Amino acid sequence: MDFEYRYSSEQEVFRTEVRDWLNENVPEGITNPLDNAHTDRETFLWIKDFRKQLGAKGWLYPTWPTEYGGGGLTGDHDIIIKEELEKADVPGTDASALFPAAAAVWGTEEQKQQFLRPTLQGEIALWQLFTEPGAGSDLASLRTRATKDGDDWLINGEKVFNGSKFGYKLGDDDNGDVHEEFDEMFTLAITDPDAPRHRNMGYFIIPGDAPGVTTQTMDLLSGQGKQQIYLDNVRVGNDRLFGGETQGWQVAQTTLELEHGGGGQLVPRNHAVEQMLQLARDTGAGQHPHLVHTLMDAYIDNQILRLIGLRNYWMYEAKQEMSYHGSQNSLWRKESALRTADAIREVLGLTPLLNQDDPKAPFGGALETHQRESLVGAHPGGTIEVQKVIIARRIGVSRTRERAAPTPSTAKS
Amino acid sequence: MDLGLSEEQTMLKDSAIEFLNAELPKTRVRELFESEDGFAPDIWKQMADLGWTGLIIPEEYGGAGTDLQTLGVLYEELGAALAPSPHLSSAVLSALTIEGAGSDDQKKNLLPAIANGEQTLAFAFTEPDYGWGPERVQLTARGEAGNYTLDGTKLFVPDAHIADQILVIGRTQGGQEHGLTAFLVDKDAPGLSIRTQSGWLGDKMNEVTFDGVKASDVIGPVNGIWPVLDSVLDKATGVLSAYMVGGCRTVLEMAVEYSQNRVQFGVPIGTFQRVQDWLIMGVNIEQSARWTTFEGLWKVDAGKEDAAQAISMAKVVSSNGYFKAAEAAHHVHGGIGIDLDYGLTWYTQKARTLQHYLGDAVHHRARMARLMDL
Ligand SMILES: Cc1cc2nc3c(=O)[nH]c(=O)nc-3n(C[C@H](O)[C@H](O)[C@H](O)COP(=O)(O)OP(=O)(O)OC[C@H]3O[C@@H](n4cnc5c(N)ncnc54)[C@H](O)[C@@H]3O)c2cc1C
Repeated sequence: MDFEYRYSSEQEVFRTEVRDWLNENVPEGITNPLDNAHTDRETFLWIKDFRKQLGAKGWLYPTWPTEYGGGGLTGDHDIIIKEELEKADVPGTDASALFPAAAAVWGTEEQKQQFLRPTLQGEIALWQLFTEPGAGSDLASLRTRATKDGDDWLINGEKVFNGSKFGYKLGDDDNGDVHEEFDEMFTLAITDPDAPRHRNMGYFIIPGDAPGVTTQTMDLLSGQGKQQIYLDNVRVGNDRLFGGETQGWQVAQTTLELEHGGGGQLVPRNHAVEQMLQLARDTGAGQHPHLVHTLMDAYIDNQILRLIGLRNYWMYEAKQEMSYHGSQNSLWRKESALRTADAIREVLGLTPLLNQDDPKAPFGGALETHQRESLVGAHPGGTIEVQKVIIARRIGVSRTRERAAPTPSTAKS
Repeated sequence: MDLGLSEEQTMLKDSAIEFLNAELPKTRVRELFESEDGFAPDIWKQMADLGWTGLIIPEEYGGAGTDLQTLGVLYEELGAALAPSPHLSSAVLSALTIEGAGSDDQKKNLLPAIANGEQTLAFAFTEPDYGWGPERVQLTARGEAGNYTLDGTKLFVPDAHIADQILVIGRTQGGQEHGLTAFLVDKDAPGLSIRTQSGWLGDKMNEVTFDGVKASDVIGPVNGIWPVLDSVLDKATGVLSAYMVGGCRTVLEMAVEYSQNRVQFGVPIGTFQRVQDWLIMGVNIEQSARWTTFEGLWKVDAGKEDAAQAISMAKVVSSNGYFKAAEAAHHVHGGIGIDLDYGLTWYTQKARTLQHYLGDAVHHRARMARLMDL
C-alpha cells in the first residue's frame, strides 16, 4: 500500500510550470470568497475567462481525453494542478464531472464534439435541472414534459434549486439590467407518460438563453445563487437528447454517481477544522479535559472523510468496480459537516456565529459561513437519508438491488 | 499511490483465510472461549510452521522481516476469524521490545526462538490503576546490574498463564517516562503467582503478582526503556487495530447476511430502513477503521513524522468502532444474536476487551492532542 503520491523530478518541473503560470495569470486579490454570494460581477467574468484559459491548456479537466477537449494528462498531473490551484486559492476552478461523465458514457460522437468538448475546454458551464417542486428525493416522479414536435422537442415544466457558482444570476447591474450568464442546462423530462417509471424520460440539454426559459432567484440560507426555473414551450433539437428517448433515467444515474462522490476527492481542504484547532490552541480550549475529546473527534471525522475520498479516487483511477462507495462519500461528507459545525460551537461558543461584518469574527467570518453551509450542504444531490437508501441497495439488502451506474472509469468503451 | 495489496500480501491473506476456515469453525471458537486457558496449542504450532510468528522479526534472527502493513493484513484475517493466540504478546510486543532494545546476545538467544514458536512471551504492562501511559507503571524493581527484584501487581495481562517467560515493565526510579525498565521473568520464578481473571473478557487475562521475584534478565537501558516501548506500542496498536478491522468486517457480514434471509411481515428484514440504518453504521465503521488503520501502518513503515498520531487515530476509531459494530449487528439479529452457538456474542465480547487493550479512545485522543500541540 502507498497512501501518497510520489512525484518524479519531471513532475516537479511540471509543478513549477503550473505555479509560474498561475503567478502570471491570476491577478492579486482574486481569491475564493468567504461566501459565494460575495462574488462580484467583475470576478465572475474573470472566472469565466480564466476557465477558458485553463481549458485551453488542458488543465481544467486534466485527465480527460484530448479528443474531447481534456488534457490527456496522468492522475499525477491532475493532483499537481489541483494542489497548485488550491494553494493559489483561485476561485471557480472546480471541474464538475456531472455532465461530462454522462456525455462521455451516453453521448454520440457528434454530441461529444458539440457539447463535451466545449465543457472540458471551459467554454461552457452547465446547470443541473433535475429537482422539481413535487419531485425531490423521488426524482423519478418528475412532471416536466418533453413532447415531439417534428424533429424537435418542446419542453414544459418547472424546476427548483438549480444553478451553481458558475453562471448564476448576478442580480441587477448599475443600469438595472439583470444578467443571466449561464450557458447550458441538463434536465430530465417525461417523453412517454404511458411508459413505466424509469423508462419514461429523456435527458436533454437546453441552452440557457432559449426562448421560454425564465428564472427566479431563490432566497436561501447560503448564497448559492439557486434558481427556480420555468420552462415554457422550450424548443430543443433532437441532437440535444442524450441516450435513447426513454433512457434519461439511466443517463442521470451516471451524473448522480459522480455527484455522490464516485470519482473520489484528492485534495480536500477543510479550513473549518484547521481554524477550529488553531483557535483551540490560542484560547487554551485544547487543554480542556472534555473539549479535547470534542476536538479530536471532529478532527478524526474529517480525516475519515479524507480517506474515503482518497479511496474513491484510487478506485476510480484503478477502474475498480464500486458499489456503495460514492454514496458513502456523500453521506460521510454531509453528516461529518454537521457534526463538525456542532463541535465548533461546543468548543468556541458564540464566536463562530459572528459574520464578516463583525470585527470580532474569527477568520473574517469564515466559521459563520461554515455554520450555514454545512446545513445547506446536507441536501444537494440526494439527502442523507437518500444516500442511505442507495447504500442499502448496493449492499444488497433492499427490496431494490442495484449496482453502481456506469462512469467513464467503468463503462466499456 | 496504490491502496491495493501487494502480491505477497494477497497470498498471505488467501492462505490465512484457508487455514482459519479449516481450523477455526465457530464451534471451535466457542470451545476456546469457554475453555480454561483459551489456548489452542495445535493452531499456535501451525501458525509458527506457517511462519507467522516470525513475520516481522528480521531475517538475521530467523524471521521473514516483512513490514507492518503485511502483518496488518494477517491480523485482519485473525480478527475476522476470532483467532486466539499469544501472537501479539509474544511475536509483536515482546519481540519488538527485544529487537529495539536488547543486546546482540539477547536478540540471538530470544528472537529465533520466538520466531519459530519455541518460546512464548507474555507482555506485562498494566496494573490495578489501569492505563497505558508510562505514569501508570508502579511495580517496583530494586537492585543493580544483573540482579533485580520485582514487587507489585500486574493486572489484565493476556497470555501470562501460557507463556514461558514474561516481559515485565517495572519502575526502577520515580518519574513518568523516565525510570521504566524492561525485565524478563521466568514463569517458574519463585514469588511469581498467576491467576487467570474471570468474567466476560474477550481474552484470557491474568493477575500477575510479584513477591520478591528475581528477574532473569534486563532488556535495554535501565530507567530508559520508554522511548523504545513507545514506538513498540505504536506498532502493536496498529496491528491490533487491524485485528479489530477484521472483527468489524465479520460482524457486518453476519448482519448483512442475516438481514437478507430473516423474513418478518412477509419480507426480508433488510428491507426495513430502521434495520438498514444499523447495517450502514456497520459499513461506515468497517471502512473508517480499515483506512485509518492501514494508513497508520503505512505511515509507521514509511517513517512518517506523524505516524504516532495516525496510529492513535486508528485506535480511537477501531476501539469505539468495533463494539458499536457488534452492537449494530445485535440490533439486526434480534434474539438469535445472543445465542451462544450462533457466534455473534464472541465478537461482542472480544470487542469490549480490545476497546481497552493498548489504550482506549480516551487515552488515544488525549495522546493525539498532545502530539498535535493542542
Ligand atoms: C443547496 C442546494 C443545492 C441544490 N442544487 C441542486 C441542483 O443544482 N440541481 C437540482 O436539480 N437540484 C438541486 N437541489 C435539490 C436537491 O437535490 C433536493 O433538495 C434533494 O434531492 C431533496 O429533495 P427535497 O428537498 O424535495 O426533499 P424531500 O424529497 O421532500 O425530502 C424531505 C425529507 O424526506 C426524506 N425522504 C424522502 N424520501 C425518503 C425515503 N425514500 N426514505 C427515507 N427518507 C426519505 C428526505 O431525506 C428528507 O429528510 C439542491 C438543493 C439544495 C438544498
